[in-house]
Amino acid sequence: MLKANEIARRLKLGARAGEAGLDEGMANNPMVIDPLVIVPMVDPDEFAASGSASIDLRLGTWFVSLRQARMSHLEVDAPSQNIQFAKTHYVPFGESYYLHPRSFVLATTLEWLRLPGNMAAYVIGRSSWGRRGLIIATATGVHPGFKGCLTLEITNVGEIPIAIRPGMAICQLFFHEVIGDESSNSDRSQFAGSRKPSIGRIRPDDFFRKLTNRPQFAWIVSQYKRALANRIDEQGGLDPSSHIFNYLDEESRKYIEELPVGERLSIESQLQEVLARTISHPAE
Amino acid sequence: MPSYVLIGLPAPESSNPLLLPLAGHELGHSLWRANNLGEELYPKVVGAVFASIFQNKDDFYKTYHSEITDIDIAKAQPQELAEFLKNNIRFFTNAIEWARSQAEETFCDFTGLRLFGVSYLKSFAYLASPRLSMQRDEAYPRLTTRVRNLVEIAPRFGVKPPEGFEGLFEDDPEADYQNSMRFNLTVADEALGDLRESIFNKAQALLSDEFVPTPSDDEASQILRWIRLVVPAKGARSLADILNAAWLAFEDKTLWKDIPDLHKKKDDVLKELILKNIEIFEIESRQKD
Repeated sequence: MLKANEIARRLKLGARAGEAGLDEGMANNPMVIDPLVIVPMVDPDEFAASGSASIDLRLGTWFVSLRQARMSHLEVDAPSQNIQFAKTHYVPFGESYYLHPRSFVLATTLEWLRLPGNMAAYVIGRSSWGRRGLIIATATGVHPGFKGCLTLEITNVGEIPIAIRPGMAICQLFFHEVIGDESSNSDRSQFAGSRKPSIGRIRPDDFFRKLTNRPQFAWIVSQYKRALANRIDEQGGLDPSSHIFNYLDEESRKYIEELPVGERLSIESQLQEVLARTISHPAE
Repeated sequence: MPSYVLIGLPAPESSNPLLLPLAGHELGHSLWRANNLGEELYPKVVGAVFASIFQNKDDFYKTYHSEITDIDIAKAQPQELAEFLKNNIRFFTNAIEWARSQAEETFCDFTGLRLFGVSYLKSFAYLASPRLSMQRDEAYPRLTTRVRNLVEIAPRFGVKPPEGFEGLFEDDPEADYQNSMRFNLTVADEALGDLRESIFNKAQALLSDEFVPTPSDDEASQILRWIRLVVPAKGARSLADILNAAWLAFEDKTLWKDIPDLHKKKDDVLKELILKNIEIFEIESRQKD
């Protein structure tokens, strides 16, 4: 874990990274080429003097609340459901967002963070808020190479509503050096490069699919791939606005329509992925 | 909402910061009204319309000779004709109104250009090239006239128009006006040429350097260096510099090529980064206050 003076040193070098006319030594410094930057800037000297091992981050202006919806449950692989239960709010500086007991809201840090390839971080709540029932961030790891505002998952586990205000210090960031090949340490998060919180998408991996798929699913997917290839041969391409069922044979379509909703969403999502991939890479 | 400028954009562009310079045009309308420029320039507008009628005396005669009997248009001396026009302004109300309105729109274009520099031209082209609509609105100058005015005035605001800019536009089709309406539109369009210098002077006086910083290429390059690092710039001097840098980044097809996951969604990430940079600019301004 990095201590205050080392974080401050890296922040100082990072602050120079965008400057023109750096001398050769400075311009070739790895911490300038791939810098640690936090904007709005923390004053590195002040921070070094504090001796703290973590940097306080502030609450941003965008929130996503999860509201009650007419749904029996959430499905793992159903992105369309997100629209039904997620609502985005903008709260200007000077205004408050009231988080009620046992409510949950997604927020972001006010700071835009750029981590170099050799550093990772952890977001932790601040104890002064935790003692009042405000729990911040449950998915706390920030990967090397992350760029963007951090999403915070905030819950009020106390008994009275808490007013949270954009700009207030809400969490802290601990930095760690990462050992290994830096070029492989690139962040591939779907949330990178974003300034607003988002629900994102949970993609079941192949391991999970193979465990849960009906044997017929593999057959339908392979038939579907063949049908798309044939269509490309015949017509030279696919219509990007097509519904997945447009290229599906009648028997498979009926089979899918009669599946329980969870399984139907799962196979539809697999076909959607195959269609999207074939449209973007028709030659594969 | 006195502190707001509203701009209508196609829905898919509603969160596109690259088009923010177009707000400069709308702000121009507020400046026009707040400074009573319509009233102040009205005598010049009328004078320019009359001058245009003088220049089109033959067409004036052909258009109106059957309606106007108390003066011989063809033989009238300039002084006599001027007196007649002054007393019969009702024949040219459309021309005066169109010329006044075109003058206001031209002032607003100059405001956008002065405030945002080259990014005003780029966002204008993004939205209005090659045409604006299915039929020309006479309250605006012809699209090619607007563009020519912008290009010719740009160097006086220290702005270098993008290469081939004028060639990106063509005029919207015009209504099939006949007789007096056609004549009114012709003189209104021509009158604008006489008014351009006065309009430029007004924009320049109202938007002086001490009021609004002139967009700077050096500042935009500095911000672009931060954008290349996928970081909002600190210490930006103005919104215009941020947006000019944003356009340079948008036009750079190799931006973030060494970060494939970002390069794939370059335009989306760039928009987020620029909106964040604008927020950072606001935060830094508040901290200074």
